[in-house]
Amino acid sequence: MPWTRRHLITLEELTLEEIEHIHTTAAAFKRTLKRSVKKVPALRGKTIVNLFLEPSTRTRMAFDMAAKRLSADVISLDGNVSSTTKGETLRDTAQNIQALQADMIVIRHAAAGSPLYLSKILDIPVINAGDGAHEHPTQGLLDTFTMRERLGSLQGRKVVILGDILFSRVARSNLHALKKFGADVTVVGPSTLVPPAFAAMGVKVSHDLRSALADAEVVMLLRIQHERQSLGMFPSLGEYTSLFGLNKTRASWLNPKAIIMHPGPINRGVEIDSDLADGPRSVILDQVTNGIAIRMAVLYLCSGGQPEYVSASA
Amino acid sequence: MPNLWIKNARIIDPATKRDERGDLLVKNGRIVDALSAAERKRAKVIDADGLVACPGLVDVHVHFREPGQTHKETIATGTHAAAAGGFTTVVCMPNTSPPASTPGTIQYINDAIKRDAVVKVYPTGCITVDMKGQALAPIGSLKRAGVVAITDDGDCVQSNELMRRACEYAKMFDLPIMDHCQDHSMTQGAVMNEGVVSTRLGLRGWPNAAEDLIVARNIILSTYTGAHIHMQHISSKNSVELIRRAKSRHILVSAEATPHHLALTDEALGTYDTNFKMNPPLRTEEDR
Repeated sequence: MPWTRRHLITLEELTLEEIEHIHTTAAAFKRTLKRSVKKVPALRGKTIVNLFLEPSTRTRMAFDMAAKRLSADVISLDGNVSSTTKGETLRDTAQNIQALQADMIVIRHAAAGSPLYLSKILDIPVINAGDGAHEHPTQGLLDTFTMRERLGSLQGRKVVILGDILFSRVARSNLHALKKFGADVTVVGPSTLVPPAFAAMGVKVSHDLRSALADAEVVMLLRIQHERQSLGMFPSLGEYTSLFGLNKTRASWLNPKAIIMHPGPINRGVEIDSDLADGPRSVILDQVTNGIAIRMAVLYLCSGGQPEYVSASA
Repeated sequence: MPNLWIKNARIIDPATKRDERGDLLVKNGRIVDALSAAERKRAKVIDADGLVACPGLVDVHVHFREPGQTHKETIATGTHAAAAGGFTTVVCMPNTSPPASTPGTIQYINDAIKRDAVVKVYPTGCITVDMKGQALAPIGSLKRAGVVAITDDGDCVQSNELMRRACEYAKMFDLPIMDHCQDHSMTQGAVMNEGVVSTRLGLRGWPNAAEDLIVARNIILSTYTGAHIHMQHISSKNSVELIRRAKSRHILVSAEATPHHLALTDEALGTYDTNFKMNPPLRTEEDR
């Protein structure tokens, strides 16, 4: 059986086969998104709780959308209106949610390691929707899914991730997944945000945009994580944009068939020019749509769902 | 106290470079060469096979959290733990609540030691008032109250000027200064060693350099003032190198390392287990 996990905590620990299995399952679910009756009854009767203790637009809504498309009931608890503001611990919050008969928890938290922690103390499946700067597994899954949709095999493909790598969970999840697919990955940005230690994760580290972008087939932009970093990592957003922002000139260095990606939210005019974000090579909105199918696959598989059922109803 | 016959222990005495199996005989609380047959018969026999017999161990860096943090430890629980591990003398740190920067608090600690301690405990006092790193604590009065050293352990005096004056002043009283070497500006929000592991885990790192810089600062100040500075819980290989070189030039510095820094590395944090989270943090195999 290709999928036997109850939790999705990291992409680091998944095998290539497991990632491909999620992609295949997601592809089947993606077909259901185009039907007039968009729901499948796969998770009917189950209740999924979104525990988001950090802000989110896409991920939160995509998990919500995914759960509803699977006919599950969804309850969302936002950090700022929960009793965490009264000092209640994460442990108590999660155990209470389990006691309230939730069937699955999707958690986003500022502390790296928190989904792993919950997976050890809860009996229900735990899905990591982003833990601090550590991993954002469903993002890595939908990003690589989108790349494969557009480019086919990722073996040997030149993929560049550009921006604030140090504080990015999206970068880390993508690095792990892309390595398993055999892609040729370069991370590029200011040396304070792209330290040499990333080489130990099997990628090339660069601070030279020209050589890094030359003939790249994928460029993924990352936002400057100003809520996670301290001041003083680089002089100003203005300097960052003038040195590392993706503009028309720099985009012309890419492979002609290259795709431009961004996990969102975009800071237009900072890491990427508006025109490029909206242009024909941008797959940014496709990423968002694929995010629903990926999360349907993840919720389904972690609930113990059988993929044959999915293909039959797709 | 009955006479003791400790049988078949591994006897280790660093002072005489002794490390061998044998028996130890104790009469009236002192180790003797022989007991009479009658004394042997009445002696309490301890089968020490598999055990080490050595002079009482000394730990110059313990935290007894009394006053104010007794949910973590007390002088009673701490000294019992020390005794269970063979430590007969310990030096306790002043980062209590309130910090031990006044003779009154030292008196409180001394009273608790007299009342509760089961091993010898020597108190230390703070370098600065309330451990705030702003102004010198009443070091003369602390000396009179019985401290054996001064330290802001838990914290580190960041101002080089203040550290210099503390060195000169403490020298008057023959008090060594113990320093927890950490540059705070380089370690804001840090939770583990800065390196390959912290990068993979997405956690803020505490670079070696933040310790090395303060160690270098202290070596210079010790050279300049002639004061004895003792570097606490050294964790970085660069610090070790700096201290080694300073000692070879007969500068009055000493240092210590913890058992966990000698045994573990930052790989232990791979599962985010906060039982391995400490300050200074566990570092790499090279540092270990």
